[in-house]
Amino acid sequence: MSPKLTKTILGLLSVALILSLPLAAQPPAHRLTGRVSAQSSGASVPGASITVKGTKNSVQTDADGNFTITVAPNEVLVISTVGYVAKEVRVGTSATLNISLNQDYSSLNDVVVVGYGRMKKSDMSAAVGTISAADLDRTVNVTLDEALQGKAANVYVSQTSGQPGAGASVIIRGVSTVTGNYQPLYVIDGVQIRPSLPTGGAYNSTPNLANELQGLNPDDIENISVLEGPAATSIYGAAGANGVIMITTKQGKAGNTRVTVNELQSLQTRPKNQPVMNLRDYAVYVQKLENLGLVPKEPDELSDPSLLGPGTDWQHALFQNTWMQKHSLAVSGGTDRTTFYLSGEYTNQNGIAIGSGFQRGSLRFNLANQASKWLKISTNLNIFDTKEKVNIFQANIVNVALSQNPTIPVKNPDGTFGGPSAAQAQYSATNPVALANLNNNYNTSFGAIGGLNLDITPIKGLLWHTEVNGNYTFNNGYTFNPSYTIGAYVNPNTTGSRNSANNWWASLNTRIQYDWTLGKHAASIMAGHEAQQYAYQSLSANGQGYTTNTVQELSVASTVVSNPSSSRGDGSQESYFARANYTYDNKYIAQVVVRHDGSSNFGPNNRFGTFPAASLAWKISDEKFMQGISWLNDLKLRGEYGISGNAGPGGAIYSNLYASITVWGGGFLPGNYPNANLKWEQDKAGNVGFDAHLFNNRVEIIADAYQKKISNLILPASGPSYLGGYLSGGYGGQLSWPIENYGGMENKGFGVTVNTVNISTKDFQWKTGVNFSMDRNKVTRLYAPIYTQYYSTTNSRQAEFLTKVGQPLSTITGYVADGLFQNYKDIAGHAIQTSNSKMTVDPAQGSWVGDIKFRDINKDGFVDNNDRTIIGNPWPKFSYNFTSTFDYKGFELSLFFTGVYGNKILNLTRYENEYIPLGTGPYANHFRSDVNFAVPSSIAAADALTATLTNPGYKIARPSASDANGNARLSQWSVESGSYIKLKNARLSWRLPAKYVNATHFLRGVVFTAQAQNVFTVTKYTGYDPEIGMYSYGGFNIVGMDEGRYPQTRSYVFSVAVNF
Amino acid sequence: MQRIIKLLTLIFLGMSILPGCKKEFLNRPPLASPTSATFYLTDEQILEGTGPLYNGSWGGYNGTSLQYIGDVLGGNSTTDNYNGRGAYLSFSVSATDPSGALQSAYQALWSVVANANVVAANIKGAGPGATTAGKNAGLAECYLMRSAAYYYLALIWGAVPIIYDNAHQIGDTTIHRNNLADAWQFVINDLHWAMDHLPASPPQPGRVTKWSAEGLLARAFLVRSGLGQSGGKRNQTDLDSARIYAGDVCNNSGLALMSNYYDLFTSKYFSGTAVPSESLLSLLWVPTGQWFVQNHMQANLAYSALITQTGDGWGGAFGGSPNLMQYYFNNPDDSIRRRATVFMPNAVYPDISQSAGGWRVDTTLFNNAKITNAGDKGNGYGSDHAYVKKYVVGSPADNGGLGAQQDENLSTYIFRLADVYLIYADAILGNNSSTSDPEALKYYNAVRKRAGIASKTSISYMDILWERKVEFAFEGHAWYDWKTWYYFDPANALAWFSNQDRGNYNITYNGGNSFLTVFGADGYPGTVSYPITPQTADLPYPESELLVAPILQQPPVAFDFSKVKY
Repeated sequence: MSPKLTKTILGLLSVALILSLPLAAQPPAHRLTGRVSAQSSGASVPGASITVKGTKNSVQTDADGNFTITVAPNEVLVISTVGYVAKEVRVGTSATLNISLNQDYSSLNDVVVVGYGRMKKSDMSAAVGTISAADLDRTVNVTLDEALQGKAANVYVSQTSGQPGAGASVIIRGVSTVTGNYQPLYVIDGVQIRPSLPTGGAYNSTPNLANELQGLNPDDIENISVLEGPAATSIYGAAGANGVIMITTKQGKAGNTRVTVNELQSLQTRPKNQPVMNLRDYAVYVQKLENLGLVPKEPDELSDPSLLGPGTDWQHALFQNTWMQKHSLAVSGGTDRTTFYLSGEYTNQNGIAIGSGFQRGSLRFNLANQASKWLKISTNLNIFDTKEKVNIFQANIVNVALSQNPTIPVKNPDGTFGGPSAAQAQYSATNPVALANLNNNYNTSFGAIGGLNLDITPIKGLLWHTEVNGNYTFNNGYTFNPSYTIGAYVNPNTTGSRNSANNWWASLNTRIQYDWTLGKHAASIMAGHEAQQYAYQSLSANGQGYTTNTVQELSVASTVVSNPSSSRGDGSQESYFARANYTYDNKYIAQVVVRHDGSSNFGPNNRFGTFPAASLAWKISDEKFMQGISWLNDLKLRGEYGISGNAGPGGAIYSNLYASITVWGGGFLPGNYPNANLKWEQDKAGNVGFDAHLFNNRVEIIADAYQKKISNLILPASGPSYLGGYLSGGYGGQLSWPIENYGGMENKGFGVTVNTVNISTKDFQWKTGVNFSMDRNKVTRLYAPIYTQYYSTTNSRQAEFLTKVGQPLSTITGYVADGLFQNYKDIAGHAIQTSNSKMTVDPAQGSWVGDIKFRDINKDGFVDNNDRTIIGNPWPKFSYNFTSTFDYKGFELSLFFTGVYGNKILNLTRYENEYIPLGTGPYANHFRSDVNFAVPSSIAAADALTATLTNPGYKIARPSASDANGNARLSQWSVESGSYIKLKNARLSWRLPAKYVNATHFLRGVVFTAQAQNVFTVTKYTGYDPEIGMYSYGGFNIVGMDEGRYPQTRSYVFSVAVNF
Repeated sequence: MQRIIKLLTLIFLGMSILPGCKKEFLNRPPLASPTSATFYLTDEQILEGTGPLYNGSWGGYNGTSLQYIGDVLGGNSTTDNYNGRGAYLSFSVSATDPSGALQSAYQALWSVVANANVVAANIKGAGPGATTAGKNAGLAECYLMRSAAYYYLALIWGAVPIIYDNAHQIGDTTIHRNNLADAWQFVINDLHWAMDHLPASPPQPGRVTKWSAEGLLARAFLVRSGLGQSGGKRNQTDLDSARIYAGDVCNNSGLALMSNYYDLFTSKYFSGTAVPSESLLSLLWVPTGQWFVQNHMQANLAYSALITQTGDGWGGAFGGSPNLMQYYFNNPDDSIRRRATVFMPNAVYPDISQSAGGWRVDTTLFNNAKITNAGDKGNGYGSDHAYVKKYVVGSPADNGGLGAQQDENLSTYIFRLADVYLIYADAILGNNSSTSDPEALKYYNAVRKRAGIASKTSISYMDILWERKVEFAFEGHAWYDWKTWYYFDPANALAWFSNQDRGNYNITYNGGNSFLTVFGADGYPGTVSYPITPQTADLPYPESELLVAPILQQPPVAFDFSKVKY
């Protein structure tokens, strides 16, 4: 020990000695009672701690803020509690003492969870967003990822589906990978989970929307830190590139055991219908087709539309108002040495679409024990069991409901399901309600997430922390689609499948942290090592021709459709990491972080990657020259720069062989070009920002601007075909291109968060929070443009997304439509529209009046695939969120708005339902706009010169059996503005006044809450819901496409929380 | 003192962290599939490694590409303009071919080269359990496959890059096209090596042998004999090589033609491990339900779903071309091959639709395609032509219960012994206008004899060309045979195609077994022909490829053969 330090310690000791000496001569102690209240409102402050300074003598205020303590005159009481500025009061001789505390609006003393540690918010020099449990409560959340929506700047969350339990896409600071997983890393009490990309869409052949985060009960979350800046994410090195979401679950507090019972009921409502034809519209439409001679004559019942009722409203039949329930119980408490938190929950959400739903039961147990002065042991464990019903996805039921015609009843008078007539049956539109009821498709998941921590403090300031944690999930997928007869539609074939998969992840990490202060210098260093390992395996089989519809097991399947298959794999990562913080005079803060990662995804040459970062912060408000500014409480400037990485998918370094059958039996072919030199994807990011607290800390402003350059993108290198690769190879003699480090992207943007306390009086408090984010993504380098084609159920009419240099990821492409042809001159004077590049003015083999006039973009004289162009950018120009909270006595009203601006959505549902293919034309229902399809004055080739449109002014092309003009081509007409502002949640709660609570003698508090979620949406978008997530299709990410996905709808929620 | 304790504690804790994991911790080879490093350990595994080269990557060529380029472009087949495939009739195939056949052939053939190269590289690193002979036989199979793909690549596109080691060349963006002569030298080198290292009899039925390589080598020499020549004269040295190698196969291989021509194209004799000894190289498909492992050709050839019974049978637009039909009508004796090649009205095929007592070609399909609209002339209208029979084998029930939609139980010929016979005759004919050489006549007439037609006593180049056209009709040969001719006699070859009738015709059925085919009557144009020029004699590179590799538009360069290691 240095002489100086020794001197200091000796000095302190002697001061303490001197101070303690006179105390012995003081008058005897007496009982002091009093009440602690809030300065502004006068409300009592329960749970405040009152300590006699310099002693262990300490008590807490009760529910009414009252306390009793034994003190001697002249002793100093320190009164402190969360949310108030601590106060010191010298005791006199009086037996009562009332104390009022000033509310502390500052969050500077909050502790923020960062990677492998915690830091005081005021010491932070990197961009980190925080979300508290109270913030999470602003929305009704079944799963964790949806709870994140709108809660932090530059975190773009959108639900990919209204299917209960489905995952959301979460993008932090712009998407940073082209083909890979853009989801952030979630660290739940040390357990690292990267959720797979949300699958989604309207239908899915193997519906498994299982979301790795769906087992976690959002009510168990204490707080969330969103690591955004490079100096914050670099500590996770290879996994940090997409941002990190740190989740800490609730811990018990010493004191009386608290019991909280929460009961929630939610009424979920039907979506607003998409505008399909009702029976009267449909009859008019069919008659128009008949008059043109395009379809055979329908039954006479349709001949006089005025006599008809509205017919079957299939959307109304499929969607229902349903209930969701959530019952939960939490018990927490403990002693000085041991604390615990135990919670259990059961959620049962019935989907608004028949045949969909989500159930979860979960249990959490968090325990901490201070075994000795130097040893602390803690553990946390979460066990969950979920079941999601996904009937709606298997048969594309939402779209079937839109296209089934209104003449068919949901149920016949005899109680059987209504179905198509013999003439209609071959066009396969069956009965969506029947299908949703008959099919039995669901996924179950059972799993555990947990860890064990050991904290050893051998000497003051030194912490040796070791933790083992992991998760395990066991999934079962089950589909059974029975044989059935609906009307004249006969499905003789029973099909079913089973699959099961399990996976685990485990990590062992240990770190040493040493903190010390010396005069104006404060420093902390941390170094650690981590080993991670994961493995998965799966088994699946499917069959058909089940001998009965009642035994839904493969054992009664007469045919095995494809051979049972299995797969397994594993991976590992080893890392060293270190961090050093230094603060001088509480004004200058510097931090250096480095992580060295080794991953099994890479070969020995490039196995390890090093990811350094540094940040600086300057509390400029503490400088002398700033002291005069009274309204400025705190201003901190921050700057950081660092490198994160991404390890991409594994297996690319090996030349994998796949089994391929030959006439002589089994064989093996190479599936891919290996790339032994594959290396880390690199994200270099810079960030500047400031934190400001103004006007007595009543205004908080956090602003950050960033730029992120991603290089060495791990991508399949699509080269010339003469090198023999395929983008999706690995079967049928097709070699996949090597995975290479090529390509780059750039993300930049900024985010501002402003939290204010607008009014704070005795009874009334009004707080607002606004955040605004702008993220721009641009592809800077690629082998070749990437076209992602989405084939809808009507295969030929595809949507196409283009990723190319200079543009953001996944722009929407299509043709440009310039209206409908009006007359012969119009057609003859325009580029050739037909697929066979022949200029013919002909109703069957060429272009005709009423066909769509597509623009010849490349001016080569005809409209073909080369005339596709970018017709929409699916990324918002900016997004924003706004919360406003009003407190009046026991009432709290909170409003939460969320919105995006400037993005485009490809409304594939409208596109599909506005095009009139004559094959199914007479039998399929369409959007009401189709009633006014273009009607040419003649469809006889001989009238080419004279034909005109009888109903100009509408956009729907004339129906034609051959569609030689190619009217089915997707154009900008199907692209709509996706801007919206949504009142996501309105919440009113009422806390039962203390006098009633206290009268019971066993209650601590009761809160009643009424909420409405998805209250209203202001948007021009015509689909169900403009909130369209991003999901993976064929290895690429598709953004902004709505193909009849399961809508999110308004729900009314009532809950009561009782504390004992 | 306390400071030292602190320091020691830190060091102790530091040491507890630093050792980390063992090196193997980060070695995680795939668990669910073997890798190149864990396979190819024995001769048996080498055979399992080369086996899939007989299907798989060829899948994209088999089907429409084989059909459109080989027979539509080659002048043996009619078609319509569905998806723009009419361009194959009119020599106007574009770089963006909407039918996709061009791109599909291009990608598939390069994929054959890539698979052969990668498997060869893996075999070179084969484990200690493999014998040298086993390794060499495996390598020879790879090189033979590679050369077979190059035969098509060179004859379709002309100068192409030489890809000899994909794993090594994959990052190289400076790969130019190589001179056409180098491509043929590459083919010849590959086949020479293959011939020297393949066994004389196949280790498993259907695998290539020394005789396969030697026959293909003869073909390569014969093609090359015309390269860069003109006026109908060929390089005598190459002709001599072709004659020697073809002669060796004809006289010494012990192989013989299958006695019945029709049986060549039936699943009984040509599916699974049933492979006629006449087959020298065939694509051996397995009806598994796996795309490109199964044969999907019948779906595009059969004119009715009633034939396939599997919902496919989309081949109504295809049939014998007027040019081919003229031959059949002028040579009514050549009925064995006609019957095995095209469906004529009222013909009965007992092996198709067996449960219904055989397939009778419905006469009502005919007589009814008179075109009334003048604008439709030559548009490929009229569906009463003689539909394609070859490679159409009926329903799964007709074929041992195997097959499904786009999945027929049948293999595909790439090269068979009859081809070697005609190559031999051609090589002997050489630069003479005709020959009566007994060896040439012996093998030429062997082909005719099986077809049930009269022998010839003197043969010319055109006799051989016509024999090939009829013998291999709808096997995807006609274009490549024409191109071989075009190499050394461009003027005549261009004129022959430019004057060829590529229109439609009407078959009028008159009851019984008599029928009358009217060419050019009833509103049909008399003859529809399209000019072909030296510019359209090579098909264009797919546009998508030129976008990725504009370097292909630069002039071809000489290939450095020292790079190729066998």
